[in-house]
Amino acid sequence: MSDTFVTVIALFLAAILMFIFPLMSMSDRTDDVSQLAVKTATTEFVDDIRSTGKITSDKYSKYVETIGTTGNSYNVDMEVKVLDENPGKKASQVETTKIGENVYYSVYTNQIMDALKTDEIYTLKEGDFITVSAKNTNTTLSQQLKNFFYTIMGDDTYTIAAEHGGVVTATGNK
Amino acid sequence: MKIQALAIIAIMLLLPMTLILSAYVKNQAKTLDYQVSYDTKLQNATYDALKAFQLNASNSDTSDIANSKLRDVKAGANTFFNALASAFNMPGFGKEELQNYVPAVVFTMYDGYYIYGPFQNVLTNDVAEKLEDPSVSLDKKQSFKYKAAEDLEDLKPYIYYSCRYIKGDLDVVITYALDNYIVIQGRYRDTTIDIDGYLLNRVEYNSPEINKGNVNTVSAKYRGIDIKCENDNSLKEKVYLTGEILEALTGSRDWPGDNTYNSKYFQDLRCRKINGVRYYATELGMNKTTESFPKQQNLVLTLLNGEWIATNYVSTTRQTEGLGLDSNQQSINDVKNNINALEYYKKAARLKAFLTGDASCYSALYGTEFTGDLKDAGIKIGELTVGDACTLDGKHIVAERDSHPDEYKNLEYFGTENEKIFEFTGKDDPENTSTNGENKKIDIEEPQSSFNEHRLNVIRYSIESNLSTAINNFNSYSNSSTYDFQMPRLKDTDWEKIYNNISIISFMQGLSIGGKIYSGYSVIPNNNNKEVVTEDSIVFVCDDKVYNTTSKYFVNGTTNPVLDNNISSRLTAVSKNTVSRASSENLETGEVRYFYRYPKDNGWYDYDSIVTSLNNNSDYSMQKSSTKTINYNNLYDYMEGFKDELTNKKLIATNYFTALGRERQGMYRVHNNGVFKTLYEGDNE
Repeated sequence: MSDTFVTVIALFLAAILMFIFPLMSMSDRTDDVSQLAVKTATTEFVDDIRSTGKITSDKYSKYVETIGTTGNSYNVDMEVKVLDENPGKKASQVETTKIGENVYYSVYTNQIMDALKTDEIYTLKEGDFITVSAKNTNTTLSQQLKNFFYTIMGDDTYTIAAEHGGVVTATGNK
Repeated sequence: MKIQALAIIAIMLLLPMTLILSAYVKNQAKTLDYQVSYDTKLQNATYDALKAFQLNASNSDTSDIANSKLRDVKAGANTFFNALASAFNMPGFGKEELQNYVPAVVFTMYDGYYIYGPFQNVLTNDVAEKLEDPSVSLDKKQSFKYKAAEDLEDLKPYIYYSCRYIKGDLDVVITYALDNYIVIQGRYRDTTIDIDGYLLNRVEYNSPEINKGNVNTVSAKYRGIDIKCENDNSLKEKVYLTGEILEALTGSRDWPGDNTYNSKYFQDLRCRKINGVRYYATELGMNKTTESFPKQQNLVLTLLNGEWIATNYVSTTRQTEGLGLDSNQQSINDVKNNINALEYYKKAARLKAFLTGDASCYSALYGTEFTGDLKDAGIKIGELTVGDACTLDGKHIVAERDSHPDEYKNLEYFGTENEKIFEFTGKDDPENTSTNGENKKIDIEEPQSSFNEHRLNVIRYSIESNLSTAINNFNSYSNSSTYDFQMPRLKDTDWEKIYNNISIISFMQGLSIGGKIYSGYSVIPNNNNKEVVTEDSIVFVCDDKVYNTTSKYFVNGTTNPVLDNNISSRLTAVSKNTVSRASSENLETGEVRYFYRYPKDNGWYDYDSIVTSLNNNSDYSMQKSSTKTINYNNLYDYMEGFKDELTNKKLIATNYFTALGRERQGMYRVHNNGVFKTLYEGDNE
């Protein structure tokens, strides 16, 4: 084995060890931080909706802005499960507002965004469910590096994702 | 070898090792991450279930009634699964899938608990026979709601916090609750025993000759403080009237428009809560703000499904019989004479007389002889010890535990053989020595008493034994065959939550989370409920109009609380959130609005209820007591401390004990059927 060959391998390994590895772990940490930020923002956004009973375009754009500051682009999905006013139970005391007894139907991001565009506000009522999830759509640095070294993920997988949901506890007014 | 070669070899050896190690650590971290995230999901779902239960219960006026409560609990369980499903991001089809991992959801209530889980339905004989009968048509058979031996996922029957006691000829079951209320049912020789009430020590009941129509002669004494009938016009509630009732009273049912706070629609009405339902008495000429004279008066009103209805509620025994009043006026007087607190102390006095064999007191209270087997039974029950506690099949728990210490390790908490349960005057209270040198004894109702210790042990024993069976049985229902479902050991802090309030306990097990199988539980206490009135549920108001629970106000208050002497009223409540709402519909637009009561207003405060108003007193400053140590956990003692103070301060204790009695007596109870009769029993023939 010639010296040159060994030196080349050593240099190569040294490059990997000294540059790529730290870079990978750094970018991993960055993703972790983004993940935390997105999670917190999503939880706040959802809890606010749950306690006020409304989604306003202000709140929505503020939320999108907050998660945007992590330097990635996100796909935000919202789903509202609306408590159906038709009583789900034949009983002597019919109550349309009982939570947990009646059927739900779902309203998704597009419908909510339409409502936000026209009315600036989308109202929910006591007993509805709201779920919001955000996933990154761009490829982060850590994903790029990983793809370069070991292509284990497809193009559309995400590394930063957060979701939160729960029962709405107040009926919102316009 | 050259140093480069050595370096390469070293790296080649180290690199794979580091990679494997880091992968391993990452895996562990991921498992932990999953653990935390599943814990959070479970916690959130349980919280949502609780929220749904709270909203359903407080928005429904019938939520106290057993089958309506069952509905609320079931709806809570549904919400739990819905929320869990949406937390796992599989809304819509999650419930059945998730049920495989949720062995039990427990709803602990005032005197027992429901377990939600799978079970095999057993039909009663007649339905089973019909299913077998060839002459019954297939259509008919299919119309039955339940099939024989069907696996159901539902609420199992209510289990009481009860314990069986066997001692010689005595065989009784005592049901405990979250406070010091007990029900004793059973047999002694040929005598049936069925008695209930709160356990209180220093209670006296002045039982006069029965005075028709004059409740003012009746009084009770608790810890040296006089308790009287509340009928002095101070017990009022601000209510919002709507609908037909408003029209009947005022001749109009105007939609109030945006100005929802309009004195025209709010009325201060005298009220009384009986068996969980609040009744209001209308006043003559109550409608001062409109020109038209009220069309109707003398109504007793109540809220049902958000609608005001007039009820011809008539108490089982007339307090006012023989006064020549029409029946409406009689009902009104029954509401106005709020004897709830008196009833509470009367029952307590009776129960004490029963357990201590005080024949003269017992017969004075009930007009019946207290002799023979009944008296023996009472004395024998009063002498029961922890050692007499049995399992349902009649084995003595403590004896079993002591003879097989290995098998019953988890029962160490259950106490010792000879501890007396109903010790009315217990040992010296170490935290409270009186100024006159006499040591204060621990009374039975105080938190440190041996009764309360035993009560908590029974609650824990009941939940633990039933729940571990339920979770074990879950193994035969779950599709997950590899995992062995077991009840985890609940932490002591979680037991504290269960002891002190109604709560929801949920379990989730058997999900794979990388390195291990997930097993977790969550306990969320429900602080806003109609189910239980704790010592700290009584609310006082300061002059800054801030509502505080008793302990916050008097014991832990950072500022010196000053009672409100401008408004000249003090009040008590269970909680704002227990208040039902009234609905009002605009007939033109079909819009329905809900009206919640306003907690603050000039004049009468609106919480659940209001105690005595006080005028022209300036000495309301309640300094935090510095003369003696305050036991923060014992409000009975704390309040008693006001007994020897000036009249004004003494009123605090009077109001507190009256309010506690009134609110507790007003609660819905299955055992309450005879409650209204008791004060004037024997007068109703």
